[in-house]
Amino acid sequence: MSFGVSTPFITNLSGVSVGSLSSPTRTSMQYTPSSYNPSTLSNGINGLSMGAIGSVLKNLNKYPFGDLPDDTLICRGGGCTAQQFIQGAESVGSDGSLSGVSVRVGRNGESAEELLQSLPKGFGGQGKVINLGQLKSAGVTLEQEGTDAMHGVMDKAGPSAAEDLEALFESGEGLIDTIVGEL
Amino acid sequence: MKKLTFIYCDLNKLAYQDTYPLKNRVVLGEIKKAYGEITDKMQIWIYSDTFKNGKFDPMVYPGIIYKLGSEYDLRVDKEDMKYLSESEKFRDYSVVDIIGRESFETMNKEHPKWF
Repeated sequence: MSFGVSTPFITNLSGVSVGSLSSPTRTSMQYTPSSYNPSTLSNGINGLSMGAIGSVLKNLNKYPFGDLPDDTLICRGGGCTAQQFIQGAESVGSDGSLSGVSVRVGRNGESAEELLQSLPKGFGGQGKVINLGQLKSAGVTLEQEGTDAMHGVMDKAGPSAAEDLEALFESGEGLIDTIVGEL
Repeated sequence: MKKLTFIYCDLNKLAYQDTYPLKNRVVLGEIKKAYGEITDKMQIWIYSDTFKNGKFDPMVYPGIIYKLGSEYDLRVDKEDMKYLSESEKFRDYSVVDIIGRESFETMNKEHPKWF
């Protein structure tokens, strides 16, 4: 995935083991929206627009997961329809490519049931599960986003990205062997 | 009385951050279509695809859009998030009113047990 200005930052992180980081050491570089009042920041800093600054800071908030095994489970809460993948993506390319689709990542070997139970409470344990190998085979890329070590974002290129993701997550139904009721 | 239009917000993302970036051109188009040109601190109504007791029961809540240069952030008070089935304000709204007929029919076709 191309982040423009963030590429050198990603490269600089290549030697950092993020697998064991529950609270990344680069916290000071992360976007901390609660620390500012956007209504007071309208003129930018040193000639940069606030939009450009915000974009840079948000991109710094993403970094690689590191080497996770292909059987790592990935879970997304909710209906997981093509329309929800489109509407839930951070951005949609002119060709239909999607970027920034949020998922939970079982980076510590969590089971499907454990991942479903870790979803935000509103989902009531309802979601779909797939494994990392399936995602990689389909050309989906995955990065960690934010300070939650299990929060990942997917990118999928191509005009049928949303339909492809829907089909992928449908195909993972067999990974869920326990029906979870309301949590 | 015309019913309000609700905009989808992904709880998978919203739950893990304080703000929700609005860069998605599809969603921005839906907001403009329903609410007009986006202005700083504009309030919109939002839904998320949530479940209660195994049944689809969208959460409905207000959000405020902040304009940051040419970009937008959506901010939500998580205390405002309510299941449609528990919302006094929207007790006259159906699931179709909230998520739209197309989304409803897609999900109902694939997962009739949710409804």
